[in-house]
Amino acid sequence: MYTTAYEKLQALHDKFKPARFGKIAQKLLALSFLAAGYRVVEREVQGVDIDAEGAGGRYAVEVKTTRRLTIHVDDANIGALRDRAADNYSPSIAVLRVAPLCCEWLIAVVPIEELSVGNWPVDRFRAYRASELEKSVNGRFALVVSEWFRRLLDEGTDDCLDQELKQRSASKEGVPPGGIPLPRKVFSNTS
Amino acid sequence: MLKLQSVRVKGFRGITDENTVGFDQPVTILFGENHQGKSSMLNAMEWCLFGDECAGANTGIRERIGWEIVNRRSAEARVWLELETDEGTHVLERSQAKGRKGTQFSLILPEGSVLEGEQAEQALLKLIRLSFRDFLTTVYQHQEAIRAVLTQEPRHRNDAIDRLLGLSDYRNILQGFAKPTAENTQKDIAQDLSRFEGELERVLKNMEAQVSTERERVQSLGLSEGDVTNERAVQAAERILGSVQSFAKDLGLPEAALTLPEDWTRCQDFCNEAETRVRELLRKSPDMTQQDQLIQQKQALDRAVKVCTGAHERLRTVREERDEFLKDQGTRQSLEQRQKAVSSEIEKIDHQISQEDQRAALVARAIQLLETLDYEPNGSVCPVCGSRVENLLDHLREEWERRQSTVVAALRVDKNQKVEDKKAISKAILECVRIDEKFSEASAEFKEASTAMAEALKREVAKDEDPVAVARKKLENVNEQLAGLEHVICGRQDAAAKIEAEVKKLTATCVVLRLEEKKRTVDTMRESKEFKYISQLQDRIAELVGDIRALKNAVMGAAAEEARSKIDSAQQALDEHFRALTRNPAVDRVRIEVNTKETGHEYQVLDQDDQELTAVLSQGDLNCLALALFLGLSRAAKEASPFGCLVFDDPSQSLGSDQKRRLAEQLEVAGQADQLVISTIDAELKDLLTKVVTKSKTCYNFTNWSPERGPKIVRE
Repeated sequence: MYTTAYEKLQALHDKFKPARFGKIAQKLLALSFLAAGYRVVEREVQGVDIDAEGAGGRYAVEVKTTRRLTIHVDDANIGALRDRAADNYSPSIAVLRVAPLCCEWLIAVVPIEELSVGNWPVDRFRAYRASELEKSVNGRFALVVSEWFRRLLDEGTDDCLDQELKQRSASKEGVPPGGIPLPRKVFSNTS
Repeated sequence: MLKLQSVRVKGFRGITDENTVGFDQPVTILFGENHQGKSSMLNAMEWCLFGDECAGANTGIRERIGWEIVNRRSAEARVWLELETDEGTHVLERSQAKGRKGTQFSLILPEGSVLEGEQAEQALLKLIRLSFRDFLTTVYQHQEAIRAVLTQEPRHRNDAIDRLLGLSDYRNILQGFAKPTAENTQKDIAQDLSRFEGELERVLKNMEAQVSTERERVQSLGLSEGDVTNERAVQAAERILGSVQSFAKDLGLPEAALTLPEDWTRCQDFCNEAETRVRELLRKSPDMTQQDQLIQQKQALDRAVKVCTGAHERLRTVREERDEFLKDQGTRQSLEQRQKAVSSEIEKIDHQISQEDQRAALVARAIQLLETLDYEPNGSVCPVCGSRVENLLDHLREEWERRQSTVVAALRVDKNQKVEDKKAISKAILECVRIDEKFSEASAEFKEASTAMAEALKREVAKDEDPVAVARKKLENVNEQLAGLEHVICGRQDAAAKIEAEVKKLTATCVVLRLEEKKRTVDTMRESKEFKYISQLQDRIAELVGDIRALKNAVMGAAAEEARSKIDSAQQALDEHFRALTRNPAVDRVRIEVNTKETGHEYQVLDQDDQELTAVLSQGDLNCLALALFLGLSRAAKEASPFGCLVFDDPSQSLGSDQKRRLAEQLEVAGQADQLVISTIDAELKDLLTKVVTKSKTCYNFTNWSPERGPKIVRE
């Protein structure tokens, strides 16, 4: 499951290059939140990347993707999270390291006063992990990646994800409270 | 108010013999060159007051690391310090034996009672009410503190100001944090895992390349991507099994005993078995068996025809040769008869030659005899030929010559001819023998070939039959049968080939699935309890690193707060003392600001325009800054401090003459309220103090220090 997801994300990373890949990963994460039963607002510009609200809580999520061991937190990230924290959202950093052993989201709810501008070792966020949320989102993420991978590669654009997010954000039809149930085990013989 | 009365020292650091310095005047000057024991005398007072607390790395004074308390020539160090209080004189006594840890301390109270050990230490603490740190910042100005401030390296200067403010403990704690073991471990684990991931990534990429190649191969075999699954693989195996069984049925052979695989992992074995089975069925099919037999028969006939034709040809050639020989030379028997006749003729000639030789010998002897007798020719009868001759000797000579040259020569020629004839006949006999043998061999070979032909034909060849012709006719018949079988066999082979093609597809599918499975080893790794343990460990280390960071921030915050508080309390006095000491026209006001940074707090010395001053201050000014800070802090602490004295150790290290004068003036001010003890090597300062300070003074000269005796201390 991990390898399959890793290979797909790696292929997307190679195809779209880091900056665009970051945005695609953000949308795939937003879809995973939706699948987990959260209401989602996803923003490509201005403000925090994702607002997710559901039974598990209210999260304002700054999304970071990297192939290295560090990510950069800038003023805009902290400002956006601070704004949302003022609206009672938990300020969160979601990190996706595209690497064979950790190709999953690390979602950390970091006290806003502890966030500072600079390069943060990814492992530093482990101290603030929202484990239940991670479990819920990551369980859906591999499926979401599998679902959209081929189309993203073939179309060479993430418009399809925008449409899907728009459509699904507008209506919660079909998603039960608590989200789509997690699969027991994902077999990945098929590519 | 505590004042120093006297200090008596023995066996302490640079002091060997017992020496006493009295502080009975308001100002006491300890004067002498370097290494004369002045600082040892001052340190002895400090040690008497604070014991081990003032020694070692914990003091924050670099020079105190590995400090030797007991003089190298002494068995023990012992210091008596008399302190004057409102109640009377307190006598403190502290000692330490060489090679022992810990000190013995006693305190004689003004009323004469003696306290020992911990009780004495507690009573002393109540009396002086100052920690060693506060003592350093408000009572005893260390020469090391000024030296440290004089350093040009900002980090060290911050450290020095911390020391002046008595914040070394914070520095020491923060230095502990500066060795971020947990953070390094976190980094190391992350890097190790990252390196491992790098390896995995390379392996996965290689595998992906292989998968890609194998998938292309699968597609070239006519399968789609959707066919490369476990379910499809098992279905394909089912189809192959059906085909193999139906193939066996068509051939009329027993059904194949093949086990259907449960999943793709068994498919490769199944493929191998199926392939073997199909080949076996094809080999064992009746058509194929018949074809094999016919082919064998055909090959045997071909071989027999070839052998037989060859043998016949050779026999014919040898026979022709023999006939020609007989025609030319006759039979062997006739040749032998001719050989015998020639031999007899040769014997006969040999006999004639012998007779002629005997006659010639007789003539020769007659001639010899006649020549001996001096013979006179007168006509006589020749004894050899019987004719009447005139001259017998001449006649005999002629006769001898004639016989030798003609008769015998002719006989010899004849004989030679006969010998040659005989040789030719012998050679012909040998040739005849050879041809006879060759003919026998060719006959035997032909007979053998005929027998082989009979075997190939599987019947006897009659004498009147041409075996080759019979065989060729038989071959025609075999070829006709083979041609008839070929169509049927081609059909069988096509059926087998179709099954083999399906097996090939399934094998290719299995290769892809196996590679995919290999890639999922990484998943197994991720799911392993070891990986989960590492992950938990990483979480815990991250928490630990977070906690340590928070702790460090708290210590840094507390240090900065205390620094601010102390600086604020001494700010005004600092400004006054600094300006009084430097009289720098560019500086109307000086203040120290404490800035909090991520790595700790820093001090900025600012002027009236908030401009950084340290960059433009001279060494002398920096020395003044350290003194101003000490004087400021001691002034600020005045109310709380029980001490009514100030101790200065080498305060004029980098001062110019004007600055020294101003220092003397500041000490004059300080001396109005406090007892002063000033240690210096500086004769200029000593003179200035003598002139400027109005309080009564006493001076001790430290000279002639030797390792055996220590200094010679003389009161002026």
